[in-house]
Amino acid sequence: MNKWLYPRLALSNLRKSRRFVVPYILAGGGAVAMLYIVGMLAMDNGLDNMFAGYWVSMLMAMGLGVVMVFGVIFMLYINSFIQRQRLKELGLYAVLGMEKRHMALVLVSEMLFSGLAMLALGLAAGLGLGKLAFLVLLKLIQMPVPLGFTVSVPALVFCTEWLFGVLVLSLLLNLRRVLRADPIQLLYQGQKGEREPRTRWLLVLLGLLTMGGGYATAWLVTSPVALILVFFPAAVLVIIGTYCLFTAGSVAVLKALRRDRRYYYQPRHFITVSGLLYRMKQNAAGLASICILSTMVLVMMICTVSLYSGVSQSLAMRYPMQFCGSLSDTAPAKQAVAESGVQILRQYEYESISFAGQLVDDVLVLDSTAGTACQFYVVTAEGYAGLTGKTLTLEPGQALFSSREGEAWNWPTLTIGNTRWEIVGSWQAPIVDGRIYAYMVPAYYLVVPTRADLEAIAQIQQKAYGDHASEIATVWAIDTACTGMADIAELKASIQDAIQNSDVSGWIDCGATDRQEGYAMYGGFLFLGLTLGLVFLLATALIIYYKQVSEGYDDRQRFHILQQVGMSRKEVQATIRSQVLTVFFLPLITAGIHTAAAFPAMTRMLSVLGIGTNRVTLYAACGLAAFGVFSLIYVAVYALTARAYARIVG
Amino acid sequence: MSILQVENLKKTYTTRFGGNLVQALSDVSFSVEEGEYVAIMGESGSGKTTLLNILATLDKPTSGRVLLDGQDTGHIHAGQLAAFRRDHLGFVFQDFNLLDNFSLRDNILLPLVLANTPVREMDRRLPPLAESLGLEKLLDKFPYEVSGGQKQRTAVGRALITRPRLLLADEPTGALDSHAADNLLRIFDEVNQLGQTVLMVTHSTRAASHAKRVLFIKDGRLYHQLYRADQTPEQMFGRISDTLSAIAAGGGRYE
Repeated sequence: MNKWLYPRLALSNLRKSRRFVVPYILAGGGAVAMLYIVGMLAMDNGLDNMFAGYWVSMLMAMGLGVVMVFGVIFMLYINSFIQRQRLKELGLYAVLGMEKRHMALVLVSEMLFSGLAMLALGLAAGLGLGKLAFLVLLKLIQMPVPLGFTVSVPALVFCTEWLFGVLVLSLLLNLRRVLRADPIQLLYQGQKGEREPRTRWLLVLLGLLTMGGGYATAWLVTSPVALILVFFPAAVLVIIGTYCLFTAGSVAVLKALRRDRRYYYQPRHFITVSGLLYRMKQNAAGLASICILSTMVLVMMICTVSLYSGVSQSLAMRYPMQFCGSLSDTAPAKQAVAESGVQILRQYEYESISFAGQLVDDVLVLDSTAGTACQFYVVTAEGYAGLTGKTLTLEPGQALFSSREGEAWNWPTLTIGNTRWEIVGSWQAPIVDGRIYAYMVPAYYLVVPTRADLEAIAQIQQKAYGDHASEIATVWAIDTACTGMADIAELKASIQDAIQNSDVSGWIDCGATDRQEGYAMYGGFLFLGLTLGLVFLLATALIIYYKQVSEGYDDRQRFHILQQVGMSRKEVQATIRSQVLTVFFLPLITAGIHTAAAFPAMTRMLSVLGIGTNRVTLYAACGLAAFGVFSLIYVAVYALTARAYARIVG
Repeated sequence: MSILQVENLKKTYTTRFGGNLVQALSDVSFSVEEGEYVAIMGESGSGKTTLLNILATLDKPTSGRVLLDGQDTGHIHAGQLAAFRRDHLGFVFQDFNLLDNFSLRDNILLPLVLANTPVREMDRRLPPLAESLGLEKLLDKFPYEVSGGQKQRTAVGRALITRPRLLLADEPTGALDSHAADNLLRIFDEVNQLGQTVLMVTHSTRAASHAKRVLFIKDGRLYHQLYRADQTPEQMFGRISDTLSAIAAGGGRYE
């Protein structure tokens, strides 16, 4: 027998079932491209050599793991889907007298061709888009673009191995199925009679309870800390509820619609309701999965985009200066800077003490839990001059007030311990010590006349807090002429060494490097979120496509009968559209509702991570944008799928 | 008055490769009177299914025309065809063609629903029809829960509920056992006695022997016809068998 017969047969098989095979090859190619890109970022040494690049590499390695595992599951799922459609074809071969080893040859050839196509496609896309992805990542983590760009060999090897592994596994599963089955079984599989689904009221009830419980938790728990504890259990409740309501709830609703005879006995409703009733039985779990996957994508998008845009703002506020420290003595640090020869462009220095307390009206209480928690920064008139460059004369017992959020002091006086300060005005301080933004509670500045006043306050505070009391320290903040991240990091190390080698207490942090680390961290998160979001989204779309197309073949017979009985082509098409629409958009709409329900809880949790001010509008904008992009891609897939479906059915 | 007039019907198919012409119908003319019960007999490939498809407006003739109540079905606008089928014709198929996801009741009501008939009218038409078909206890069952004969009776119900001018049946007993087939043919006799015009395509002598007139078709031509007049089905059965033997023997046109 001609040795090319089986490969040729395999090729013609692939061509014949292109409706299933083409998306499979695209999915495989897409997975390879994605793995190459993420793998390149995870394994590329160039990134490791950059400042804070190790963190990005680590995040990407995590992402690589997720994409890899998810990819395997997903490719196996599609493979089993395609094979199920082909059982009859294989059965026919068997009846025609093809031996099992010949069938195995055909299957191997098919897999070989598909695999080569996936690899070629995936590597082309990966290499092409890799550079772009790299640039996007660098932009997100705000790092300069290095010259040159090389192909990452380890990533190439990795994704090729992955594809090989997945395809061999799929092939083994397919071979096992074919070699075990007998021809008659193959021929008639997939033609079993379907029973009408029953309404399972218990499941409906369980679904309502769990879903309601999850929603209520998200709405009613207001404390961010408690929310972090209950968010995950609440999400699990909503997932259970979604499964129950999609499976049992949909059947209950459709049956109720069917009982309403006036509604039911109309052409469109008649076909759609009974069609959906059966479709739900087979697909409810799938649709629920799609819904949950979509919700996860949306939540992930909102979180990462919000974090990134919130944090990039916060980082600028948190680290206004290149270096900022609070030291008992600034001399060693100053000396280190001087020795390095780096020019200081801007410099602030003032004495300050910072401590927490509770405000009860106009009295600051230190040894109680009643009242509003707040953080106080106290500086002297001299410190004021150092900060603003203006001189200030305060009479004994007078003080200036300022708050982080800019609100005014509503009382004529402020009492701390046994001292009553007369508030004579407010001031706007340039904030050089960004720690003030690290506090969740309101933060206030107070200017007192002399260092003696500062010491008095320090003593009051000492009495109340004992070992936990703060000391008066000198805040020293500078901007240097240094620009390169490596040079800055070096300077930071020498300053910190100098402090450690002296008996000075306190700390100094480098805004420039911390900011860069923050960008690397949240930019890396965002990139990962976008990547995983894209992967899950495309996976969702493909699942829907496969479901719809395979149902197209089941529905063909039904719509053929309907046309014979007197339904026009146009009516058939309208009915198809409304059915496909329902199946498609039910998960999307539910995902939207879930996300909206989770939104208040998410904003509360994000506000812990974001620094200071309220950013609900920002989160809402992120959410809407994420939902918009998501829907757009979803609608595109819908259009494609609806066309393929109509072509099969019509 | 003729309900159906078929004039010089011709249908030619072109094979996909090579452009060979296959003549499915070469020149068929006949007419069916109101209240008649006509069977068209022929072997596989004789052109009877092509003929039925053209009568059913599911296919178009190459030349010639079909008049239903004097209206040329070839001139009906494509968008109106489905409505025309729904309002004027009833179909019974060999393999029932019921929809699995509808109860028997909904299968029968299907054409009425498609025609936007009010629920009140459905309620008026269904019970007597279901009773005459012996389905009144089965209406809430689904096709996979009932026997072949019951399925085919449901299909007859679906065909008759619109009160069509013409009931077209394509090998209606083909998938039934003899008992169910007899049952179905008795139902056809009954509806015909009530005035329903029936046109059936079959190669079962037994089924054809119930008709009032049998047309024989061979190689795309009308070959012969028999009238039952006042003979019993059993006598008719004999005559049909004789005719079929004669045709099979390859004799010339005999009459």
